[in-house]
Amino acid sequence: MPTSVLILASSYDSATFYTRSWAHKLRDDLLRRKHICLFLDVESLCSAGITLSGAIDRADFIVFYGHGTTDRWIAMPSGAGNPAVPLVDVAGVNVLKGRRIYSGCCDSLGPRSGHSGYALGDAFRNQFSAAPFIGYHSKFEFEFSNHDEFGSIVNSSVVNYVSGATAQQTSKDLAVEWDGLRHDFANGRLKNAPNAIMAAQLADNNGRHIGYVP
Amino acid sequence: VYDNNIDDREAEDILTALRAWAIGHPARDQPFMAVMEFAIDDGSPVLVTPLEFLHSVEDKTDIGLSFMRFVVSQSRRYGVPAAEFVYRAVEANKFPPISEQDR
Repeated sequence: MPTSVLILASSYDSATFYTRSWAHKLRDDLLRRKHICLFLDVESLCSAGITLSGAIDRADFIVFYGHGTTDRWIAMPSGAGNPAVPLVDVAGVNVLKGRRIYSGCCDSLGPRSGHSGYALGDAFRNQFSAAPFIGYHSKFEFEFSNHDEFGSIVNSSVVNYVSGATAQQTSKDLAVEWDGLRHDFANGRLKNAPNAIMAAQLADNNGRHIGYVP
Repeated sequence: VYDNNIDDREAEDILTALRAWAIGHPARDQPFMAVMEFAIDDGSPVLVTPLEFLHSVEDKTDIGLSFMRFVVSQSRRYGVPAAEFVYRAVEANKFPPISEQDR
């Protein structure tokens, strides 16, 4: 039986330009695996009158690729004197309706050492105690010239999650994958890639910061 | 003293290599890495250019110091001189990917 996945992706700067390309590849991969996949550009959610709630009603999983802070996913950046627009924040986390969440951005779980009480993942757990939320306890980072390597690991972990792995197992597997990429860049198959040692450190950081609730 | 946990000569070797990497980088003024963070103050994501990265290591910022410590840790792990990791990146910049050569 196919699983339904909603992918939310933004693309308004050089970083999210790359992550949206990952999101497109993820959609293609999930469709090839016979899953149902809804793909929404986050910016159009705001501008075209499509409700996030209506899309979430139709999904088992929600995957977000973009920018985030501890207490929100960002839909639009600040500009012209106006603040950034959240897609989802701690005050409105109920819109996620207890779906299984994969948060591909910074800080959704708050600091690993102690609960901030304001983190999006914490707010989600407080609303939906049994529903899993995968995210990062600190910054999610990648290096541009090797972005495909980073994107492949993120996308594979989403496929693993959607295919039935628990949040705990997905998080554990992903930490192993990030460490493998660290090795590849530091002294393995990718050691002669551009900016390899810098990419190795970012992969290492990602592996130490991945986590989940509950 | 760069850092109490890093040999001074090793730190200087890494910095020398990093200067060669940043200054010789084909896109030294363009971001090469992203932190998917939204700075609270101005709403801008953190994008780092090679020159900014070099300066962060020279100035021992959090990013710079953690990079230096990471390179040294990888040196110990693999038995490779620390600066060699950076010189690999210097060499890689001399041979851009085929897709860029074709442009």
